[in-house]
Amino acid sequence: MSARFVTAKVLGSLATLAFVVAFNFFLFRVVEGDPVASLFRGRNLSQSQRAELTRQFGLDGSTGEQFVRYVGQTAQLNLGRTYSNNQPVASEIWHKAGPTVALVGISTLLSTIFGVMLGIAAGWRRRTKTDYAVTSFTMATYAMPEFWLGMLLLTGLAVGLGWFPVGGIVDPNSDATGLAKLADQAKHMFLPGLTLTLAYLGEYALVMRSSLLETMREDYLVLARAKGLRDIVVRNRHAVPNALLPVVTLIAINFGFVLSGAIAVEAIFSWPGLGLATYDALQGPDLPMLQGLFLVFSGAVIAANLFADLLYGYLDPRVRTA
Amino acid sequence: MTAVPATEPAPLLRVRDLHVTYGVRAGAIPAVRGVDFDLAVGETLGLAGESGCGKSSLAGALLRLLPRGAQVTGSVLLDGEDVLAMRPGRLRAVRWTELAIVFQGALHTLNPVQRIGRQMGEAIRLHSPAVRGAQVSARVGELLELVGLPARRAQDYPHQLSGGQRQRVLIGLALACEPRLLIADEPTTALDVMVQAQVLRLLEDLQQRLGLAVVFITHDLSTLATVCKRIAVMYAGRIVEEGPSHEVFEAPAHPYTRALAAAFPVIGDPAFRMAPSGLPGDPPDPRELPSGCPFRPRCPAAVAVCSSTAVELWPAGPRRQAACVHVPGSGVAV
Amino acid sequence: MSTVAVSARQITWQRRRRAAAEAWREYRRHTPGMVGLAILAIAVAVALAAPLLADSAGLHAVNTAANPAWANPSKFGPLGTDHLGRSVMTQFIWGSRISLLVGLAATVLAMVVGAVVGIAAGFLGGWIEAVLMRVTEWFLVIPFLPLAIVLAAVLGPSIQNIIFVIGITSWPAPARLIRAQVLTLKERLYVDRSRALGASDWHLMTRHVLPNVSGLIIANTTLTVPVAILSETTLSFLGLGDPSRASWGKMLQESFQAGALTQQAWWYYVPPGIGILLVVLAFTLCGQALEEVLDPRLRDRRA
Repeated sequence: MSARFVTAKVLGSLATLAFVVAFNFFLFRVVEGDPVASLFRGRNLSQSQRAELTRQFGLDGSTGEQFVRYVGQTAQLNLGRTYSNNQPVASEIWHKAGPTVALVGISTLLSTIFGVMLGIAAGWRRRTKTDYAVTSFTMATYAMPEFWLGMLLLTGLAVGLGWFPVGGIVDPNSDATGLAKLADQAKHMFLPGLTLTLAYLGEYALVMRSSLLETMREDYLVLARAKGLRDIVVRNRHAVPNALLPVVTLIAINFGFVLSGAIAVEAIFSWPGLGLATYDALQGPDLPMLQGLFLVFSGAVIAANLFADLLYGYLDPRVRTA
Repeated sequence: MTAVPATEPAPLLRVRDLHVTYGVRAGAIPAVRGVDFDLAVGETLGLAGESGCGKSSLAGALLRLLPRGAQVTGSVLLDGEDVLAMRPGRLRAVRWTELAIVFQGALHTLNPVQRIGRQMGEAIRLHSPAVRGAQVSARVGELLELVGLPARRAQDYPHQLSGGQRQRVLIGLALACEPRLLIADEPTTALDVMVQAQVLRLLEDLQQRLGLAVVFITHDLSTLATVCKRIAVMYAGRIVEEGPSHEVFEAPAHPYTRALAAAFPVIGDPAFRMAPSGLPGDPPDPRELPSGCPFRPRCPAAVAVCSSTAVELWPAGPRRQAACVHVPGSGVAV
Repeated sequence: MSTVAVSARQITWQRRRRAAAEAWREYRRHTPGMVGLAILAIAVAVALAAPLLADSAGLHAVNTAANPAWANPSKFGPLGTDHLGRSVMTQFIWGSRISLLVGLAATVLAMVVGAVVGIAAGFLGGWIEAVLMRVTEWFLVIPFLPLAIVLAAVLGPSIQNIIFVIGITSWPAPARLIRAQVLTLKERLYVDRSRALGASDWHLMTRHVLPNVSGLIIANTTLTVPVAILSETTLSFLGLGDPSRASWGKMLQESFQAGALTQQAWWYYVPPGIGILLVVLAFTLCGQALEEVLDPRLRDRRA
């Protein structure tokens, strides 16, 4: 893969990230008005106290100076302090990132694998019962809000049947450690994970199916069959690798949606990740926290897109040798 | 005492009453409506016709490569064995080793994400599992050189080759398992004239050197005249003329053949510049063929009996046949 | 021999009417599309007839003996009551208005902006295209919900803001599609011929390009509305919707916060979800049917 290809992609991503940082700054400055006043309303502040607080929050100086200071702070990973408990936003995010990474990571993996398998089954034998079943399932899960699906699963399997805990990441009453703790966490992750997996599985199946249908019209499959290869081999060795290419792009596109879906789903299941943090921050609204979360979410999606671009370049020789 | 003529050896390929129909219900399309021909070892047969006449369906039917909705009836005897009746395992073994197809070298005839060498090697490895890695590479290199490409091209991807080079790769690929019979389906159609000539010369050369039997499918009658020994002309799913190539080309017996032959300009011929050529009208819809001779609506020599006679291939000379009432051997009063 | 003066405009409209009638005939043959259309007709009818179907007074808190809290459907009304004793059915009927209204309005906004950007970028080219496409790319990469959240949090919860936020985050996708279509149209000869006759850019864009992308726009609109509806649902659930109006998303929010999940008061949160599911499904089916009608290449070969 040419260095030029990689450099171009990386620079593009950095530019987008820069836009996000600038956008963050201007959005809040534009609307904020006087954050000191809104924060401390109801309390009498002297002129000097107000000036001191303004300086502390970095709100003094011209907009230009504020912007430069903001960029500098962001580069040093100083994202301000939360309104709610005056903790550094960056460390709050850092501590809550783990559960979200685990939840989103595993859901993406499972929905990709099962979605692709279903898509292949539906596309290779189109117009059969398998095809109709997969397509119907996909349309149904696509049409419902993913957190509503979570609500149904919660009432049905957790509250109703009692098979799974109703929320959180660990049983508050147990002090298990090591493997037992991991098992407990897994049990808690099952329902939110299932929700996110089911919510996005359909789309992978659909994209894989239509991609496979497109590929099946290509002449090189006829050639492969003419050589004497078995049907399954033609499918797996020639059709599927070509059909998978759009799926790779989809993983990147979907990543933003999965992260977004995780916000409401984490709220439903009280899963202590960044999604729940966003939900809580909205109650304030805790603007510095929201700003920081927006930056982190955007950064993650930008990185995912970059990864998918590079991966696509690796898989499709037409792109990298152009 | 008259000499008893030696019996000819059984032909390598014998096709009898081949029908190809797409779809089942009322809208079924009969693409091939009863085709017979023979091909001996080392013999070359040209198959000509406009697009939609059924020649590509015919080619696909010989190895049962048509899509699932296609019905094929009749018999295709390859060395005495009926391809249409073969079990899947036997069919797969026969494919490429006995009969191979040279497809038109469009961009997506080859898998775009695999290197050329790997795709050629795949055929070799499939039918000769004992052959190992380095030997496969060596054989691929030989094949590439056989078709006039440097062996290192095996590392390239299809999009990195020109149209002519891709066509050569497809020819080399078709020869990978040393088949005795080659079907070339429009191998030069997408190429420009200079490259066409090169590829044709290559095919001719290989055919003679390796003693291949070739069915050469095209819409360009003039290329067939030089490359093939015999020509068959197809129209509306049937063969309408058949005979030695030079005779068919220079003195066509069927009006359609005459039109095809005239459709390609001869540069420098003043008579050609003045005479109108090109066929009026469109190929017929296979679902709604006219009564009698299907060519009648477009035929400059049509007469009254043409719409009521069921035309078939009648003798039009020694070893020639044509499906036209004007042919002396038809026995139809015109 | 009579001469009837028929203007070019009349001819164009006659042709368009004929094309529309032909398209409708083709659409009718598409069963899923007709099912979707039927569902939509019912949904719109319910939304419009809301004042007739349910008294809007029922939307306000009334916890009395006549309207007990958490009554399940067997005890009260077709869908029971919520934690404040309000009729769920009333909320459901009135909620349909907001969900549909926001979905449609936001989509219209997104389409208008997207079409303007797409046509301008595709047709004018040059640095205009470069700038517009860069902005579009940026919007496409940023994850929708976090962006919508920060915008909504900053602007405040109201119906106009929600429409604005969803519209402003949804225009990039259609813009890209429309630009691609415009680029292929530009290749066509008639645009060059028109230009040779002295037509201005504006004339070309509105008289030639726009009618030819209108099919794409219509099909895309039908497929964008469900996304907008789902977005409104999510934003309302997160508390960013208009607090003064009932919507299906708001029902989900309130049911969740009032503990309907642990109470197993399914009649509160299942109906809005089903409502959303049906409406989104209906739009998707119509959209797919429209795509096939307007672009013959997509029609399955009935072999």
